Amino acid sequence: MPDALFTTITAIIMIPVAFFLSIIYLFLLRKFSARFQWRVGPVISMYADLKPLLGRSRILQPLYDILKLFGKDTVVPSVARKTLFKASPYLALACAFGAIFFIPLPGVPLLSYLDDSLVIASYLLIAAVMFTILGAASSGSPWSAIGARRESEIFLVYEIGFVVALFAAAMTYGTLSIWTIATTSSLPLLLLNPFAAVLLFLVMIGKLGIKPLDIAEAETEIVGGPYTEYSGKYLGMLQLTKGFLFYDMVGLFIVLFLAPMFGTALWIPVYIISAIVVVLFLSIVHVLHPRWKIDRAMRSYGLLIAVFAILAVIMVALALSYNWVVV
Amino acid sequence: MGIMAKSRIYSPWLFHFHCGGCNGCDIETLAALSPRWDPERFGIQLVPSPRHADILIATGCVPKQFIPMVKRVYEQVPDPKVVVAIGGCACGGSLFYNEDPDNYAILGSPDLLVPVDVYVPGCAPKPEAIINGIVQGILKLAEKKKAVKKA
Amino acid sequence: MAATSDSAIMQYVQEVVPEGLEYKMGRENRVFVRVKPDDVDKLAERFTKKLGVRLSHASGVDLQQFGFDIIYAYDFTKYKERLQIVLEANLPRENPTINSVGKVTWQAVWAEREMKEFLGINFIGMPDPRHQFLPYEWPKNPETGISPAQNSTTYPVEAKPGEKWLPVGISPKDAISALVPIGPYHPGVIEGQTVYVKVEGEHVIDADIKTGYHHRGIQRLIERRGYNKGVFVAERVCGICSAHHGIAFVTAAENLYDAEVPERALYIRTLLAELNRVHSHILWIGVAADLIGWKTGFMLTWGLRERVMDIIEAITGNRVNYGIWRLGGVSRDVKQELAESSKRTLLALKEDLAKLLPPVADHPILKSRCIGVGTLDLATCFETGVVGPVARASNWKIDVRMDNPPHAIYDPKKISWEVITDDHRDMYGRVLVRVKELFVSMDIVVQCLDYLAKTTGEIRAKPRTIEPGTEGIGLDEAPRGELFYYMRAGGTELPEYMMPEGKHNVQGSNQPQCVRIRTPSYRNNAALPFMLKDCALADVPIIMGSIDQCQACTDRVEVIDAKTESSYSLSWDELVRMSQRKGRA
Ligand code: SF4
Repeated sequence: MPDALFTTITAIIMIPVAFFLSIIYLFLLRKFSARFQWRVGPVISMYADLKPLLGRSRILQPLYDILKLFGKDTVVPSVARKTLFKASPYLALACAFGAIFFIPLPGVPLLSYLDDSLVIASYLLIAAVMFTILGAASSGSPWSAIGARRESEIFLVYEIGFVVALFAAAMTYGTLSIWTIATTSSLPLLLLNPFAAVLLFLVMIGKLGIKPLDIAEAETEIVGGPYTEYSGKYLGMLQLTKGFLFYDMVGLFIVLFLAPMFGTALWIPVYIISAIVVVLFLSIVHVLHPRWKIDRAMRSYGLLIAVFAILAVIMVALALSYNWVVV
Repeated sequence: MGIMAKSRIYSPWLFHFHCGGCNGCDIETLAALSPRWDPERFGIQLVPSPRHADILIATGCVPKQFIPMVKRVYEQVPDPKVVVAIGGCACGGSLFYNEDPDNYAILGSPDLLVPVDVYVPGCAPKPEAIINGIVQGILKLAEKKKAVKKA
Repeated sequence: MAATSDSAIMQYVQEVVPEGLEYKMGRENRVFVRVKPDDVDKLAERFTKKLGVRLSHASGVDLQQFGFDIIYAYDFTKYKERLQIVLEANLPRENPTINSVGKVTWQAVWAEREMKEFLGINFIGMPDPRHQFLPYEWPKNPETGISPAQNSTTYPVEAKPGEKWLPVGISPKDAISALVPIGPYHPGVIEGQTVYVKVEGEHVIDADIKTGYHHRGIQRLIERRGYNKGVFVAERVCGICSAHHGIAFVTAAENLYDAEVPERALYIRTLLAELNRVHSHILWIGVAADLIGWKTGFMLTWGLRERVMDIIEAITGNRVNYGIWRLGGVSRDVKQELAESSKRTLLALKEDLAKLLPPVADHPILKSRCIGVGTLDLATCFETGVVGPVARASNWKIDVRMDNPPHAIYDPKKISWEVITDDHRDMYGRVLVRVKELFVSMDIVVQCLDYLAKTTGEIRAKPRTIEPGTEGIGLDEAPRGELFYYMRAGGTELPEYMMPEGKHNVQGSNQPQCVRIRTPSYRNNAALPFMLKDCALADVPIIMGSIDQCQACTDRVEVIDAKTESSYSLSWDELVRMSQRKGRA
């Protein structure tokens, strides 16, 4: 167990790192999607003649969006339940932000050495989404209300998958501490239990609102869904929440399923490559699909989640009974 | 220039705001977002709700039935904001506007109702011209914030 | 193309309309029959129910002191080639009353609502007396408390005492049944309109549409500006199908005199009309993809569309409103090199589209979003009188280009093409029809370009004088369906019964006495509530998209004779309050 001072210092260092990575992930998602759509997307190196006016590069485009939102006027609709409406973005952001301390980087356990860190992290990640729903429900706009209802329906489906995927990891390694999992020297869980990995990937699609499941934010149907009534800094906060959620989910995926990489010297390239690959896959899914209808999504997505959840649990049972894991 | 001021220039979000007209300018505005021009390179994005917007793209002459909506949408956009009028209609009513005798259904250009910052004439203007207009709008946006700060 | 004063046709018309008071043969088998106002609904019953013909449009003309002329245009192409029968009935200025045709066929309902609100004509037994274009809350008559066009307030979709206008999705008590106004501003539809849908959860149980935000007085403007300038106004009825408005306008105007349009001009017209259809259908596919949340589909199709726009720009110099339509021809020629290079671009585009579209149409999620959504069976189709791809997707083979072509080349002997139909009867059918039509149109364009590259010739004939009082009809198949222009030449010579005593002036004029436009979306929008019933809320935008509605088209205009435009923006607020929340800074 690392000492408190080290944890504090690393945690403080962690904040800008996680923030930066969130921005990069959001950027990559946009860039990849744009490339698949025959577009350029936010430019990496600005055209020479435009540099003085438009800056050198747009890799930080999501950051600019968020900062701009913080600099704007904030409008609160008069029909909203004010306290809840204003508080929920803060709470959602706090949860998503809090979760970053439970996602370790190699050599930096942060809070993940705690015995129940997996449980805490999952609670925080669930709560972040829940507060978004709550804020939307209190905004009083019909579109937000419908968006919130859709989000909460789909939320029920993917959270089951989320819990099962984490549970599979925990069962396989026999611990609820993320750090213990991360420092294991057995085979990576990706090979031991690929179904759980797919399951977590499916959950990510739902949780991050990637295309077939961006039902809640369906802009052509219900304007902006939960975000319709938010503006200015609250919208910026919700965007930031999304960025941190992105970081959390990608980080969790790598930690749980590529755990042994943490021990090797190659961890930096492995971490970078695997993060890019995950985002790439997410963007492929994002561009390939139209949006599902909610009833259809509940059925198809629910079925997918259920099948992979069962397979993942079976794999866990197999792994345990044949003792594939060497802890 | 601080990062806040920069980010305002770097991330203009548009709300496409149709107030009458023939649709020609609307499809040209959408065409300006298509892969050939791809303004997302510079962070320009179309948003679904006026509450998220920085720049209002107004197209079309305003029929009288649109008057309250035009005002309301303008009010819903948080400050600082810029209105870019696209097309002959939005600049002065185009051929729908008739002085004598009056065209009973048309009020005229949207600048009779809301302050317009940039005019892009043409019927319909080409997407290049539209993007140029948006860029002019961005520059105005940067100035506006300065003015707010000084005040 | 030349006028045929066929006595056989006249005889046929006299057989079907024995009640006629006066028969007038127009050019190109358009027959104008004056009837007594009392016979109008009987005739409508016979035409639509027994003979199964379509009512193209109904409209009214304000003749000042001579009262109102009501015209009903029926499409008889089923029986005789190109035959259009137009019934005309004259009503007195004081208390104009006529039996409603709307109670016989739904096709007339919107037209009657429109006449009622703008001309103040009373229709006896009208099924839906609400305003069409004006706000429902249009100022009431201060004396009677009744608004001129509305004597009962029957909203088909209306909040019952227990129900609320705004759904609050979470609380179960309010979620039972709620009314959602979609619009006037909604990202799914660019243009302003309000569709009121009543939902239970996510299930739509009732729907109604309110249009009219785009009312721009266009018909009035054309009447004021005359034939030559009117073309440009007509083009700007709608910027997406501007070529078809141009072509229908010139067809109607050329119908007023013995027009001889050079063959080359006809080919150029066909070329542009079909290029316009190509770009419009590609545009629609992109918008539809966006409506079901597929940004990629939008980007790819709009990326390809730019190539069509390039060809159009090279030929006409413009991207949106081409401005090359003239009476008796066109104003710009297509040179040989241009024709050849355009053909090359187009063939490359066709290849790309052939690669891209079939897999898209097979996408499983797309299919699940489209199949069985917004169904419309053939009977409803006929009853509501939908036109264009919507009708063809329900297996109804109507295409003006085949039945009653405009003044362009659609002769199957000169150009090979076919009418596409499909029997899915739903959203998916409409997608397929449009995709196939796209390829048919491109074939037509290639044939036109071939012709233009090989030949040279005149592109414009001199227009002649237009006799006052003649009537003409111009039809065209716009990308969204049949487009109808009715035109009556202006001038001071008037038919005898409306002559003021002793005066006889035969001077013609440069301005039409009236122009009436009926756009395809006008019909298709009227059928929208039928499609929206019993669908999911998520499907509402795509169903609205499936008819490719074009409000700019729908809300073109009627003549207004009452000067009561004061102070209605106030009464508007209520409707707006329902649809949008006021923000507070
Ligand atoms: S400016 Fe021209 S193209 Fe644009 S909306 Fe007006 S009429 Fe249409």
